[in-house]
Amino acid sequence: MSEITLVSKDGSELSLSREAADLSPVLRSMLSRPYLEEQQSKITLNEIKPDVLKKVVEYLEYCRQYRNAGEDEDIPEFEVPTEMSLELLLVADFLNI
Amino acid sequence: MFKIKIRSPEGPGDGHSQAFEPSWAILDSAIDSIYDGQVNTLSFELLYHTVYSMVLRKQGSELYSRLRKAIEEKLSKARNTIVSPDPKLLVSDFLRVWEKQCDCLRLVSDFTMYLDRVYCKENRVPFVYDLGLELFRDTIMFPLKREIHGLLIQQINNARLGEPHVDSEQLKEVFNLMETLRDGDDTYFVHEFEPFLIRETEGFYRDFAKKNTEDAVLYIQKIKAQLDTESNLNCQFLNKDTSAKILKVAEEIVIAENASFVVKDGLPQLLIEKDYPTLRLLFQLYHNPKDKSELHKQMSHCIIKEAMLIEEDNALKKKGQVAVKWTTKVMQLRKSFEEVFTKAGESGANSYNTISESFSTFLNQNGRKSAEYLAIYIDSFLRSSAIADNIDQMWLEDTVSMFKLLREKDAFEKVYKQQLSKRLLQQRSCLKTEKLVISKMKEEMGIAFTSKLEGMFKDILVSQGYKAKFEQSYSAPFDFEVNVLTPPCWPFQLTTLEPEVELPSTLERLKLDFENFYIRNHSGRSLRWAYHLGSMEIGFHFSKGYHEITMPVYAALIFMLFESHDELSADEISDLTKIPEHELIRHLLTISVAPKTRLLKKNPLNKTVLPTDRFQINYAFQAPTKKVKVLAVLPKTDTSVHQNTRIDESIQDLLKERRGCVDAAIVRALKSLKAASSKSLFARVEHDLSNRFTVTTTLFEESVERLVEREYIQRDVDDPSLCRYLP
Repeated sequence: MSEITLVSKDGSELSLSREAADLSPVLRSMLSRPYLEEQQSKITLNEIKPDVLKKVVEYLEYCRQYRNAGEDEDIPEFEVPTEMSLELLLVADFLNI
Repeated sequence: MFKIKIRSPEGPGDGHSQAFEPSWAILDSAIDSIYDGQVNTLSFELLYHTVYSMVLRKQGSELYSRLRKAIEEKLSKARNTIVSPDPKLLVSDFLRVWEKQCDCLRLVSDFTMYLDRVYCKENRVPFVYDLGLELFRDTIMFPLKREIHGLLIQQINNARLGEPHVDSEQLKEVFNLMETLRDGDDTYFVHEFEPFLIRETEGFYRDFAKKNTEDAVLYIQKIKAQLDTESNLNCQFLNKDTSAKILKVAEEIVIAENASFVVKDGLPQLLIEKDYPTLRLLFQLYHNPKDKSELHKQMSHCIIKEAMLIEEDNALKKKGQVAVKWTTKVMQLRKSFEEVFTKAGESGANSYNTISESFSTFLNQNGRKSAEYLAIYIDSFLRSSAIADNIDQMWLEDTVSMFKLLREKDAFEKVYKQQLSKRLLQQRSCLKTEKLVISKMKEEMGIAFTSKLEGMFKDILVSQGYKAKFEQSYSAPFDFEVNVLTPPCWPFQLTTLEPEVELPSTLERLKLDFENFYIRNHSGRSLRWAYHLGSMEIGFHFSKGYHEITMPVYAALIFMLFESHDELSADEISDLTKIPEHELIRHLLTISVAPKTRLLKKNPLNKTVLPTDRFQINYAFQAPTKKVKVLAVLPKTDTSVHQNTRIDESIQDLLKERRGCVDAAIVRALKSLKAASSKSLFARVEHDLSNRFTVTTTLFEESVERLVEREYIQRDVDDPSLCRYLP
């Protein structure tokens, strides 16, 4: 599975598996249509802070890992720092997660 | 108490308080690029973000209407490219535009995802993509409707006529397109095209039917082929719903509207030619219930018509042979129709009913004759199979199923009873077989119908018991057989008038002894001898050989006189035997005039018997077999008259019995109802007697009159149609 790169506000890059990216309809569309992003496998998200983006990536990978888990499997809690929650919420809206 | 302070969120994009126009300019040019096929130069994130910010800034509705305008413009431009004069290219142009538009729309709708999600949902307007489709419908589909539809139907009709170069892929694509577009609550396809297609299909098949109505068989094959083609075609490019509708329409037109001639003219021909493949086709074509019932109706016409053609072969001498031949033919016909249905792939209960009903109608058109003939037929069969122990089950099934179809079962019963009694007394058939037949009838008709018949069997069995018992204490000088019959069960008119005759002394003694024996066992019963039903076997040595002669009792009595007399006159015979005159004459004729059984010499030899005629034993008698059977002849002089009166008598009897039945049924019904209107009473009586015969209104009315006269019932004073039971 190919990896894609997310670029945050300050230019730092994070990588994410394609499979996890597909969990956001917005990211998926960006990658599945012949836009600039699709060719570069690189998405620049100028409005998102690096720490928040990092959390988003964490969350997407977390989802990818556990979404097919059975009911009896142990799913660890996903922890969100309180002070970041509002910003995360906005980003979630933006990415339609 | 906590005080929660909410920091005003600094969401992405906030801060730049951009105006609408610059943002729109970005999007507008992006749309242009998309339509120009330069998507790869665009950053999705930028566009998405622009839309996102605009929506957040509550510029959604403005954005939406701008988008709409922009897409509309693009579509109108595209519409103008579809102008190809060649019809084939027109459709493909159209499809090309459609595909392009879809692609572009999808791209646009991708980056406006946030608009869809927030603005469109809240305001309940179609998503951008759907908006695009709507616009496509209005700007491109509707203006081109007539041309496109026309071209499509032309292609479809060509395909129906078997033209090989029809691009079914293209058709399928167009139909998919139509199914994607929405119109009102339904798809464009369902709303606009389907009705059109159905109308055109009707037209096509009307034409088709009109052109092919010359030959029925050909027509069947043609429509079958055409319908097959149709359903094949439909599989290729139509959805199931529509195919079903189209096929239904087509079938309705070629079968229900136009094929009546096929059934009327073609069916009889097919039946005569036994063209099973075509018949099978026909049944397949007529698979919907309405058509099928029509077909079955016609079948039954054919059956009845054919059955009517079966003639009674009056060239045959005996009525029995005529009856047997006729019945055999009817049964064969039935069999052959069963075969027709089976071979045509229609062996269900329905077809069985059709056959049965048709035959029932046929048999009951001449009910009494059919009943009589069937009875005679059974009689002849049972007689001929007297030795065979194993009756042919098939035969039994067939016969009883014919019997079931008779409506005038009482007429049948009458004849059957008569013949059964003869068979039983003369031991001409196998008891086991007889019982089997009766038990079958019992299954069909219930116990009431067969009780008398069974009574006859019982008499025979009980008599055998008597004989065995009687012989224990008595040794008779010769073999004898006694049957004690219970008069109500037997169809003979017994015979208070039957005078006692003079028996030879050995017989007289046996008779008295048996009477004594019987009365000892059953006091209070009276025994009466029915000589005319009996027979006797006498061995006699003629000059050319020894013969055992079986003959009626009266004939035997006459013959035995010549043990002690050489020659007697008719008058003397009468004195010596006291046989009633007409029986005497009949039996004298039998044994002295009938050519094969001339046991006595008559002088003068002619066909009348005068008291002065003289008789003596004909020693020159000869016969090909050792055993000879003498059958009583009917006096020649009045044969025809006699026969007619006999038939009349039996009809009279039948009517009398029917009257009795109706009377009884009315009284029975009223006894429980107390009062009933004529109409409902009639219905009830008709139902009660339906398995014996059909009650006619005249029969019913007469019966009511009779009962009123005899004060069993009473008409209501106020309402004469109301009948009351008089206790």
